Amino acid sequence: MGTSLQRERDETILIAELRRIHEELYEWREAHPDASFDEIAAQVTPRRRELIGLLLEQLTKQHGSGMVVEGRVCERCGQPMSYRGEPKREVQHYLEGETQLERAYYYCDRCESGLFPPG
Amino acid sequence: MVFSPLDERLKLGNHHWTPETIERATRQAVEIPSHRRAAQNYEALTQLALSKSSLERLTHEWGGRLVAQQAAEAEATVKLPERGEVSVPREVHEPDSDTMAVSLDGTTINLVGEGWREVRVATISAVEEVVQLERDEEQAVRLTRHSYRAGVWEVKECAQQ
Repeated sequence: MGTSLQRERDETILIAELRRIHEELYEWREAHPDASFDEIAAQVTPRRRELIGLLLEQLTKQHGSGMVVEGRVCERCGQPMSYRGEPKREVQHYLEGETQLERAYYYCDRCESGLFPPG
Repeated sequence: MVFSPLDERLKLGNHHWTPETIERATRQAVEIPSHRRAAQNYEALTQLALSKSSLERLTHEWGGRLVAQQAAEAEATVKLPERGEVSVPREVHEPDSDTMAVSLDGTTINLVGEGWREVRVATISAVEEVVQLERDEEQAVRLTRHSYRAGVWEVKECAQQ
């Protein structure tokens, strides 16, 4: 479960991003008074996806990055897996666009396969 | 062996796309008989890039999983128990009507990269009697509650479904 500090920090980041997007769009609209609805929407869509991508990123990590205290055991050979940090991967959703996801990642030194994380 | 607990919890596979996104993209691929046009359609609808080759790969991968799942289900219904294996009788479902109809048919479809192939279809329906008052109370039947199984099978494979 996310802490109240993390919640406040996420909210601050999200609101700051919304303000930045609003500012950009407002300026664009000032310069394009004759824009059609579709032209305005075309400006909004990629920024909406940026904003919602950030919200998704925060929500996916609300319960942590997947780091486990006791470590992981390799399903293939039964040996303990080593923690290899929190590399980023990109996840694409057909409605919400792309989200950057940082998550804990474990590697089995004995099997020595799949050095690179997916994504 | 690599593992990310969060990927697993979020049910994300090794792909860049979420499972639901893959489902939406492959739906375009099975409806449109050209991977290039299907990928263009997906891009036009979502404003997200998807190459023809990625869509083709995803469609084969996900389609292959469905075919394997159906084949496993079919095999389980005809497989004899191994020696020493405890035989557990399958659950017998109540039929939808006292009399059931089984219809078999087939057609040909043009598969991308494979050309024309024969599809075999078995339809199972409940039989309801209908009294037709207009025709001197002659009895007729109406087929309802249909279920079907279809596939690109040879005759031998079809018999095992």
